[in-house]
Amino acid sequence: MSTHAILLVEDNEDDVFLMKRAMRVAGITNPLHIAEDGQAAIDYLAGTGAYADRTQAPLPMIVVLDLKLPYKSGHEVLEWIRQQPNFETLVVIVLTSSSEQVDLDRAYKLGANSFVVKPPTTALLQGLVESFKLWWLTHNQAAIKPAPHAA
Amino acid sequence: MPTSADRERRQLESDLRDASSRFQAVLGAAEIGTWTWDLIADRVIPDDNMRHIFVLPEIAPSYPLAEFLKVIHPDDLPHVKTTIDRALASDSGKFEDDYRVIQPGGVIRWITARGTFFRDENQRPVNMSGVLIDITARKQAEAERDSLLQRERAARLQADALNARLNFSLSALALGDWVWDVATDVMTLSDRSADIYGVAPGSGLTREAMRALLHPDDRDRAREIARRSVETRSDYSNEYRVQHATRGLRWVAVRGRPVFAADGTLTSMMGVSQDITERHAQEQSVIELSRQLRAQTEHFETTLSNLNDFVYSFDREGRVTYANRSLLKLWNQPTLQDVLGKSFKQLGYPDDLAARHLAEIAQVIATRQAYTGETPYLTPTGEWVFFQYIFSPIFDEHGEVSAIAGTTRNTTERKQTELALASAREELLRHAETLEATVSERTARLQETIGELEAFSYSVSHDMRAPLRAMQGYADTLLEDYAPKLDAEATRHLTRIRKNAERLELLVRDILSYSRVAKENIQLTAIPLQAFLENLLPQLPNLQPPVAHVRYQRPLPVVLGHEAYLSQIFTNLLGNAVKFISKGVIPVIDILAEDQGASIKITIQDNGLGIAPEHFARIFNIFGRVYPDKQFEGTGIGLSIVKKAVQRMGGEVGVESKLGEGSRFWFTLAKA
Repeated sequence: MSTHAILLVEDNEDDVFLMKRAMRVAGITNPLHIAEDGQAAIDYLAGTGAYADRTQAPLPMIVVLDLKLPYKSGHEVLEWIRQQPNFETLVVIVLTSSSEQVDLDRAYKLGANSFVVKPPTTALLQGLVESFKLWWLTHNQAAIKPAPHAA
Repeated sequence: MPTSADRERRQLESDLRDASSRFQAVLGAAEIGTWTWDLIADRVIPDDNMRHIFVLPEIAPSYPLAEFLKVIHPDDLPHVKTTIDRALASDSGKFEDDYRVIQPGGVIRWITARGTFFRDENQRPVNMSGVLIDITARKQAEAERDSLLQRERAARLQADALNARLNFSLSALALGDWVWDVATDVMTLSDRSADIYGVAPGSGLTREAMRALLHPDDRDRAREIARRSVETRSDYSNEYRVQHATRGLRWVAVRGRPVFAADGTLTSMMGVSQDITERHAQEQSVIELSRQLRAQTEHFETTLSNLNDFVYSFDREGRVTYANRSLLKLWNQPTLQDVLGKSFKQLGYPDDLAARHLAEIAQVIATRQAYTGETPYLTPTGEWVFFQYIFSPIFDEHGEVSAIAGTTRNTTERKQTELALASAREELLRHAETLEATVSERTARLQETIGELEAFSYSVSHDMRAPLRAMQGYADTLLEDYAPKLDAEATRHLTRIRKNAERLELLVRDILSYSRVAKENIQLTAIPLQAFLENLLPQLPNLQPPVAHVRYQRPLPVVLGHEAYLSQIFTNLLGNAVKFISKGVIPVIDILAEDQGASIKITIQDNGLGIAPEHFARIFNIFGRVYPDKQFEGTGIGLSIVKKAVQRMGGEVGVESKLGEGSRFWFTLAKA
């Protein structure tokens, strides 16, 4: 299982809490970094401002991206990511409460690797995170493998 | 003393003188002149009569011949000279010629002259003597006679011609002539007359016998007319009926003339007769026809003149040939005679209108079709009126347009009504437009509002999910992570929180589904129902045996629909079928398809509780629940989504059921 960092772009602290809990329950030990809005996510990935120190803000192997975000939407973040030459192959999983077809279509067109609707119950969320661990962290071979950092 | 011989001689001389003077007297009375011409001396000795005839300028005892020749008419002189020469050359020496002499004042006298040349022993003519006779009177009488003869001949020719013409006329006109002689009381009839009266030619009937041939009612009048003709010495004419022996009653016209002797007594009556039965009949029919025509004309005139409409006709040049009284009144003209033959301009039409009417008449002539027009018109009294008129062609026997007939109606009132109507219509239209604008504006606003509401409900529903997830998540966290620390009541309360959150989550999900179905644009595709169900059913865990039995007809048709909607419909309906059922009963569900021609009716029949008919309409409404939530959990939106989804696919939805006997939910879809 990879030990690379995961960037969760999520403005809802309850979702962040539940995600962290589910990951803990699932036994995921990868360092989880949070960006609370779209601009923060771009800054993090660009390594600017508050995220200039890569020891504090290591490049993630997977970005879990919400769509409805302050300042810059998830789609805009995704679009920016795919415009960066070094992030062309970065794994981006969209995790959103929207099940709108347009959101889904747009996300895939912009280069999302996966599109997942936030599960409505804790049990379902737990099931999802377990699957995530197995699929993305265990079996999936990522193109980008940044240097792992200790959390 | 005179001797007896002297006496005798004196007596003889006296006698001779007497005889000579008597001879002269006779000659003088007869205007016969004598002369002697001495050729040797060229002296002519005239007597007094000759002097009277030749009236020479000088008085002399004798004259040269040339003096006499001077007064002879130039046209006659050559032949006089020729006659003289011929007489000189002839053995007899006789001279005879007629010639004219011109007396002073231009009086011309005709002379006939005779003479004889005497020769000497050498046969030389030495003198000549002769007589002159003034034949002027005779010549005049002769000329007069010739002229008379000529005139008589001309008159006779003229009379002959007249007679020929008369005869021709008589025969051409079938005229018979007759004469009644007073002295003999015999009526002499020509063949034609005899034929007209139906008697034998030359039968010599008396006048009264002839009158007996007349119709009894006409006899007295015939007699009276003839009597008056004689009395007034003038021609008469009459028409009477003749009782013809073979042809029956005939009408005969007669013209007669009394003929009187020099002393004024009547000698005869002459005249001509003509059978006019046919003409009479024709006349009668002509009279009858013209009477009818007059009556008809009067009838038409009365009828046309009582019309308020104008009735009229023009010739091809647009001149009036008829106008009824109404039109005359408009034109302010007393009688038809005042307008006959007048042009529009002469009737005071303005130039443009006159030109227009003439063009329209030309058009009617050219197209041979009636022309309908409408025009405003300023009456002589200064009033504006509207006229609608029709000009129609009148064809002659050759099919040519010979005239134009027209009628004109005052349409002012109608025009005003029309105008009022048009303005009312326009106003109405404006109102309607305003109304339409208002309606479409309000509709747009309403749709906007609905859209906003939908967007709002969607966004509200959507935004509710995060807090719900949080509520659930925290409740779960507490229940799972802190279970040892929680007492039973705390655990129950947390469970209630989680339960309610789950319920709310379901509600939100259904509302979002409904909204999505209501607003999405979808494309219908062909869906093979059987394959579709074979794929769908395994995904629904509570429909698998032994929990429930779902059976469907095989094969199932292909329908036109939207796969996601169809999944939603089956999921909801099948979900209801297994939910609303008596405890302990295993659901058995049949899916049937019925071909309805253009569409397929799909029925889902269950063995559940059934629904009372009074609820049929309500259950398809949002939150239209039959059972309280406590008894059967649900949001009350499921059937609304079904109904909306079916409608969006162009179908209909319904239910047949009886309480306790299961339900049959059905919906239709177009055949693929």
